Amino acid sequence: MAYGETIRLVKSLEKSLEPVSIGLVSNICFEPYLMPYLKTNFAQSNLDSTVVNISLEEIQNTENIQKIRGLDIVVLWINYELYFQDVQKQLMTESKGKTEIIDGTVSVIQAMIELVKSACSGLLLVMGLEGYYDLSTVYFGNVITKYDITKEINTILSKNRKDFVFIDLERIIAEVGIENAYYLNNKYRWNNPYSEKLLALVAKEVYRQYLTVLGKTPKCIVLDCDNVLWGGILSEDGVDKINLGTIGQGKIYRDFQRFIVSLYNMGIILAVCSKNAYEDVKAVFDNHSGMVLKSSMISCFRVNWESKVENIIEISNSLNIGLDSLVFVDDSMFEIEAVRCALPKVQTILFNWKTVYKDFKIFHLKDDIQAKDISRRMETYQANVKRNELIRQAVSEDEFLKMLNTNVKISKANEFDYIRIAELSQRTNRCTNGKRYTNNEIKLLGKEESYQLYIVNVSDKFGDLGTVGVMGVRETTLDLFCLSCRALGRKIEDMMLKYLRSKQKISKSFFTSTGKNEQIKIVLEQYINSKM
Amino acid sequence: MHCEYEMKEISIGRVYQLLDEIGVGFDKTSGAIKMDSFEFIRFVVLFEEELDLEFSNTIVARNIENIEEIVAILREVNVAVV
Repeated sequence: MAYGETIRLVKSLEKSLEPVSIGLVSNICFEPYLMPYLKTNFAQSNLDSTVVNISLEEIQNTENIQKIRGLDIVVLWINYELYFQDVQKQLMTESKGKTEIIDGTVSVIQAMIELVKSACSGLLLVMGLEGYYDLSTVYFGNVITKYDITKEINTILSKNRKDFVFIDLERIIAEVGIENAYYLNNKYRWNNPYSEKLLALVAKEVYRQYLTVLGKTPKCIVLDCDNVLWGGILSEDGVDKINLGTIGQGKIYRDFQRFIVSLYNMGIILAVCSKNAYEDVKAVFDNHSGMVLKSSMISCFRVNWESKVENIIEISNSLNIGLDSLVFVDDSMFEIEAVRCALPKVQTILFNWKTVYKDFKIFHLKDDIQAKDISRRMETYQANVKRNELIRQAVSEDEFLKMLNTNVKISKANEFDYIRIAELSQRTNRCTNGKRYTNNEIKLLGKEESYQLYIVNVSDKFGDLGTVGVMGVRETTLDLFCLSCRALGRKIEDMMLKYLRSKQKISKSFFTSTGKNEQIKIVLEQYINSKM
Repeated sequence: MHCEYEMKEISIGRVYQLLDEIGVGFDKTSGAIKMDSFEFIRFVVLFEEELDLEFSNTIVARNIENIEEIVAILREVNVAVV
């Protein structure tokens, strides 16, 4: 999009958006492209981004560092070519060794990261180094280049990252191509070496990382089987004739399954919704040598000849996951349209093996989830399905709760709980007072003497749900209240509030709408007015 | 002798319209403009695109206080403000 078009688009954006403040700490300039692209990206979430530019020199001054205090996001972007100008000379003259240069550079960057972190508890994004267009990086035979060094520094920074997100700038440059990543006119006019095309992608990446940290991502993929997980029609071709394996057409589906498994390994819940005989589908999952996906990875199977719309509603209910957190993947335009029409909140992907991977960019996933947390989460969702079967058998709600043998443990949080507390505050939409905190902010709250943090652990006869709830109280104000949707429907929210009443006096409660938490507003109001 | 370059034209109304698009404050009556160096960069890039021209690489981002300065800058790249 041309620059003029972009700024006209920015002007047309609604004025009533929620503000989000972004600080760009750098030794280069980003005018005029980055800011309008940030605006248009954040507007997708009804946010109005305002940008503060701070130079690397400014940030090192105690007065100027105040500029980043309280910002929601800070992007630290050090242009390697400009900041570490003498590296190639040092290498060529052997005045410094490669290891010494790498260690020195890493410690300079880490010091800046610490400086920014000391002043701002918002989301910190650290842009990786790149040295593609530095003229001295031109390869001469086997001469060690700065390019090799930037790669090693990036690896160290990303491996050692703590409380910040590392953005791989080299990968973004690879997306547009080196030839399209730079604009020399602006580099020499006002120190902005990057092209509009590259900065448009950077703005998108900043927005994606913001969504990732907030946990704003679909939670569950609902997969069709025929011509999605394997080629062919199972009910017509039979288990032996479907296309699935390591050669030819079968590889398309095996690769797609591997991709789905990688999402599963990052915490995405999987469900299967297929018009087939359940026994046939189960036989493929359990016995076909080409299957990468396993039955144990699927939290809910809805395989029958009923409408997919009905089945998706049942999946949503069984797993206790909102329709707007589901993504439905099918190769049939008819099924996709039926779901789009009847369930507009469900996101849909029409399976086309050539383009399907791009469609999955709607997911914003963290890569630091522990394997044990994922398997526990899967067990919980699978147990939820069993619980829902139990609820059908139970005569009354009380009988059902009794049959579950629920055990609720509420205790004071310690520092090992902070990541989970931040995650709960970011991800919970239904049973929450709407307060969102980052991990850094929770750490600071944990240090406040007047602030009490409580966590809620739940287990029942089907398994351990882990930490599913959190409460934060400052003096007499209930500041933070959230309970995971995994634990809803068993009156745990009442137990939490009763527990709190036994511990301290609460006269006020924070509340902001998430669009889905109206019910909890009523509960909290009743609680404050002592009706429960 | 003849002139080999072609003079482009832009109306003063259009200049103000474009300045408004990049968020620059101005007073049409007095010609006063309040443009900081960031807005100057936006002005250069937008006018390059609008008029299909290229300002010199030696142009330096700066503050602008009067429409006459804009007219002079445009004249340097053979654009007459009419």
